[in-house]
This record gives sequence, structure tokens and C-alpha cells, in this order.
Amino acid sequence: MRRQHVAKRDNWQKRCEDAGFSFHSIDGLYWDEGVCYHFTRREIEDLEKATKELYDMCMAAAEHIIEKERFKELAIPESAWALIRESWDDDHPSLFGRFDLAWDGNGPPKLLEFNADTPTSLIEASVAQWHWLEDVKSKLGPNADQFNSLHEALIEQWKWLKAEHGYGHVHFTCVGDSEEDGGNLDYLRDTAIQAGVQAPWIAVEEIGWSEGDLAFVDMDNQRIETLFKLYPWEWLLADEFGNNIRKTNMRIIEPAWKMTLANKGLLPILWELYPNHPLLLEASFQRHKVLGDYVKKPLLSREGANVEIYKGGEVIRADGTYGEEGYVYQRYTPIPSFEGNFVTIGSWIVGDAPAGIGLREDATEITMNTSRFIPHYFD
Amino acid sequence: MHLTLVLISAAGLGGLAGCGNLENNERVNRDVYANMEACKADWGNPGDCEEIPAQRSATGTSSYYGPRYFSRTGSTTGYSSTTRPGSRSSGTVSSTPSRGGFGASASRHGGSSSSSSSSHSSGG
Repeated sequence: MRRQHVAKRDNWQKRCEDAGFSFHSIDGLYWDEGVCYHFTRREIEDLEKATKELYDMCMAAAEHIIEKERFKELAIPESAWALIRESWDDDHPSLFGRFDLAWDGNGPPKLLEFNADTPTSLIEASVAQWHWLEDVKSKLGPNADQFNSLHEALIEQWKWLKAEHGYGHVHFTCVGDSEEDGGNLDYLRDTAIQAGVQAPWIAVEEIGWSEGDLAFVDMDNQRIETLFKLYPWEWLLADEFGNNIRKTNMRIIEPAWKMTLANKGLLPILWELYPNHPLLLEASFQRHKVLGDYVKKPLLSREGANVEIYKGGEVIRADGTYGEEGYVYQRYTPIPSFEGNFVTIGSWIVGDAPAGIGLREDATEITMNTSRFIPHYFD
Repeated sequence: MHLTLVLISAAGLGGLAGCGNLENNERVNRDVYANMEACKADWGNPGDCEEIPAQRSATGTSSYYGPRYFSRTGSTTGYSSTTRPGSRSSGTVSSTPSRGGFGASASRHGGSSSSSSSSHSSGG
């Protein structure tokens, strides 16, 4: 694994926009193709294998959390427990997720967290990154390839969801005025439509509730049978309509059981179930149980918010609005630095299969919403 | 602990059964709780809990109804995860919906452009 400088395409903005990736320059510099990461085929195989193993471990952890009712440790409100149990017992299917890994190509990758509910950076990892490879392949070498089957895998997963679970008509929702969420959602809708799924969009603020019919409805007052939400479960539940979810038989993607995995409380539970596993970092709900340098993470934080790194007597903090729900403590591992840039690897799972990676760089060891997206290739 | 009632009569169901939105194998449930605390713990919202007059409760003391809800699991309703989805066609609801009950959490966490930067995402 190495960081490589490459020439930007003359028309890179247009190429990104052609792929539907309009927010390439959000907050100044987000998509950065002046550099890329080069992997060997063996390294990619290692990442793929690690991703599959982590997913299998997470599924076992979800079963453990639900069977042992360890919801309180994850600060999951009691009113959500039945939803979680029912969605698990009824095998409500998942579409996707993204593991964030610390790895420089040596030794085993280490799991930082699992974005199991509302993973983003999807359109850039899927189509924008692939277009980049197609455009610059001649400069990278004849065997240049990319760990990226995201687009095809998503279409196949939607086909399966339609055929096996009847998800032929899915409403897609996110907050109405977020360009980034809207871009990711439009891309996901496109993959669903290509799979033959009807995929109307509705802003989450516009979703209606009919008490008389025990149904959520769209702007035409049509029942929403299945909802894909790029909106965290804990936010849904905390909102005014949250308590109505359980009254309906509306299916939701990601399903409610993903609340057990989209929670940093997963990390200490994984460590309990798989102590000293090479893909894991020691983690605990209790500070004193993690010796040495450590990272303090809110149970529900997103995009690095409120993460604190305690290292060598220094503290690095990210601002945010999380933490009231509690924290976990994870042993510190150095985030690989290339030319002064800290990089994390987002490794995607679609259904239950690894489907590609996307890399994020930052000037600090905390990957945040504004961390740059860097394309990759392997040969 | 609670007792689940399966409502199979159209009476008292408002728009639910009266307008023909229920298919043959669908049921609306309502749980009965020994007290308000148990109902509130299960549903999170005291407004969803309704006191049952003492003379109507089995114990002679005040019990509480939880809200009506569509049953989900095959064990209760005859649904199975393979037959239920898609078995109901989409339809227009019979009552006027209320809106605006989702989205507030995004504002609290900077998940929309109402925050200082439009880059903030609800995702992770």
C-alpha cells in the first residue's frame, strides 16, 4: 500500500458531476484525485477476507446482543427493543454497511467502527472512483484494477430484495436539504430502479402519519410499505413520529436490528466474544479496563463527532453534539500516515459480501465529515 | 408482562377495518398492561397508553391499553417473512395524515443545511 501522486484529469469536476457526484468540492476540497493509493492484489485479498470475517463476527454479535438483551448497555431505548427483536426474528434483510479500518498494508487490519445503519461516501466509492480509474488507467499500467463491485452488487441486492422479500416499491428518504445525503440517496435510488424496483423519493420531513390507518404515507397520501432511510434509527425514534413506527407493518432498510451494530457499544461486545482477535482492538465500556493510550468514542456519534484520542499525555478532540448517551473506550492504534496524511479505509459490505473500498484522508487521526476522499487502484 | 389482544372486529377500528384496508391475514393488536409504567416502558410515550376502566379490566384494578398496532410476526398473525411483504397493495389512506413528525433530530445534530455548513450528512 503506498500513496502515489497522479495528474488530475482536466475535466475532473465534469466527470464527477456526470456520475451524479455533485458535492465533489464541498467544504473546499473533498474529492482529491491529485493522489491515489496503490495496493497489491494480495493486499486487496487480505482486505476482502478481513471484511467478510468482520461481518460474520458482527452478525454473531447482533444475535448475542438480542438474545441476551444487552440493549441498555448500548443506550437503546426500551421502546425500541421489540422492534429490534421482531426485525431479527423475521429476518428483515440488510442492504449494506461499511467497516472503517486502520491499515497500512502490514499485519492485520484493525476495526475502528462499523457504519451499519447510514453509511455514506457511497457514490464516490462506487461510480466516481470507477470513472476515475477508467479515465487514468493508461497512466497507471495495463493491469490496473480496482476493488469495487459496489454498483453491480447493489443492483443484485435490490433484485434479491424484490424477489425474495417483495421489496418492489420502496420509498427513499433523507433530510430534504442535505446535498450530500441527497446525492447518495439518488444514487441508491438509481441502483434500485435498475433492479426493477419502484423508488420514489420523499423528504423525511414530509412523511405523513395517518393514525386512523396506522400507516406512514407519502405526499400523495399513499401508504409507505417499505422505506429506505438515510436517516439514523436513533433519530427516527427520537422524533415525534418515532413511536408510531412500531404500530405499522412498514418495512425499513436498514432494519431495526442494525441498531445493535451501528453503535460503538458493538466494539467492547466484539472484544468480549472474540478476545484478542487480530482484526479487533481491545475495547470496553469501562475506562480503566483499557490500558495505555486509548480513544473515547460516543456510542452513537457519526463522522468522528466527539471522538477523543488520549495519546502520550495529549488529547485530540473533535467537536460535536454526541456523548450524552455514553461512551466506549478503545485501545489506540496509530492511523497510518502517508506524507503526513492520515488515511482510513472504508470497506463495504453489500448483503453479506465484501464489495469494495474507499479511502479518506485527513490532517488529523480523526476521520470527519470533511476528510478528503482519495481514489485507489491495485495491480 | 402484557397480554396481547387481537382485534378482529371492525368495530372501534376507525378507518382501519372499516375502509377495507386490512387483508385477510392482517390483524391489529392491542396490548394490555398491568399499569401505566409497564405500558410507558414498552412504548416510550404515555400518550399511547389508555386507562381501562376498573370494571372492564380482568383484575378489577386499573390496567392500561397500549396503542393499536399492526402485528408483525408470523407467530402472532399467520404472516411469515416470506409471504407478508408485497402482499398488500399500496393504497390511499382514509384519514388525513399529519406531517412534520420526522426530521427534528437532524436539526439538533447539524444533519441539514440549517447548520453552519451544508456539508453535514446524516450518514457516517
